Amino acid sequence: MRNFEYLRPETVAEACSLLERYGPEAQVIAGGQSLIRMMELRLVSPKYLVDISGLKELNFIRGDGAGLEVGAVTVYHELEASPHIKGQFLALKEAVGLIGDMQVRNLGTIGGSLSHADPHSDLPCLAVAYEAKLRAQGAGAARDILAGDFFVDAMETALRPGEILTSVTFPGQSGATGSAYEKFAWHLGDYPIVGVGCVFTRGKGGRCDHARVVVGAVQEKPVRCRGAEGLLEGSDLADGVLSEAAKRVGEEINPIADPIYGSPQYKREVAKALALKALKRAKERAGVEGR
Amino acid sequence: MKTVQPVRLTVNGVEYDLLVEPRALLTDLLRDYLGLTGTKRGCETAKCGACTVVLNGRAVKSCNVLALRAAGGTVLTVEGLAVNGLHPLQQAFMENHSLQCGFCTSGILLAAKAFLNVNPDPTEEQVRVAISGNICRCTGYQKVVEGILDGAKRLRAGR
Repeated sequence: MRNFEYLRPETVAEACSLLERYGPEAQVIAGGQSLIRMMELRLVSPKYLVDISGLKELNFIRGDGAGLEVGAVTVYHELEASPHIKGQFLALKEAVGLIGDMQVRNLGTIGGSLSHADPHSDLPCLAVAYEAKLRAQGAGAARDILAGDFFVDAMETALRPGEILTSVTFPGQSGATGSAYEKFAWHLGDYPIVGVGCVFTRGKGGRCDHARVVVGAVQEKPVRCRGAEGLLEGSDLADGVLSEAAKRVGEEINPIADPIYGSPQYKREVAKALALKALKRAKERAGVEGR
Repeated sequence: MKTVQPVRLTVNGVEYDLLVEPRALLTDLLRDYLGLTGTKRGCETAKCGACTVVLNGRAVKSCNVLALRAAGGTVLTVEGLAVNGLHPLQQAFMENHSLQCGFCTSGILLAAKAFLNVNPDPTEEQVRVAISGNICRCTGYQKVVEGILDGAKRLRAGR
């Protein structure tokens, strides 16, 4: 890679002021598990590298029953091991455990994954499925960006120059809520070829009052399958409904043609199969008896 | 632009003060600056795990970590495993024929050691997941897994 000046700020404010000072010549690094590879290939060659991995104020997991708040610099293995990530947030643990390998999970961060916005990654899909709020901090005031608005294009987010992601909040749903993440890749830990994340809640009266079904990795950014969600919401989440919703997922995505990993039609079929598995597991977790 | 920056770190119990290029990877620091060539460059694309070392108690691929990131930290390389004779994992690998050419072995030993520090009594499945970041061309992994499970047993018995 090309040489650079390595900077290690001790506070978020210091990090932001460095980014402000150096502008487009600066790049943020956290776990570096994606960035170092890009720098080695000279796809990016910043003059200044701002290492935020040591910012303790961005390294936390807080669960208060109402929701889950995770600092951007929280490392994957902490998420995997955290007792706060349970119940309706189990899909998050599921997804993190399938990222890379033990070594990657010892360094990579949730904030890094979301900011990098690689279409072939797992966490953006789940961030959208949970309707997470992503907090961005620059020289000015912090602002919250909904996951659905955060991912703009492949490797492109709504972060403005000089802004870093500081935390991700996963709002809790009240009512019996289940979630699941299903991933298709050739080997354990590979980047996903297709990923499906779902979250739904069984409200009073046993009807589903909230459903989110998201397909990742097949397009430039995660895709919300609103038709599938519409079939689930208001339903009793019977197996027949889940099958219909899974089929609908296949119709709602427009997978990018890929000479190596599969044609659009192949990815549609995979997405349908993953969606059914994910929906069934989420249903079990929501405590809905099989019907 | 500074062409070198200082880094202080402890490797295998010894403290070093070095001046390194910021673009130096931890692998470069260990092999080229310190002469510890037990850590291998296998793929140079962070896929094979032959470069695995233990940084601050956690297994990492040293080719995917900047040397400066290790500042103030502690690194264990394969050279640091044999303290009073061979480490129980090394002994187990020998007796279980867990290596052939040996090129992946340093990385696997350190991945295994770091993993067993956190999970000292793993199932076979958990071991296989733990070493999924280490590629071996020779063994087909079966004897590697047996070596790790045997090493784990020895460690639990206090050698």
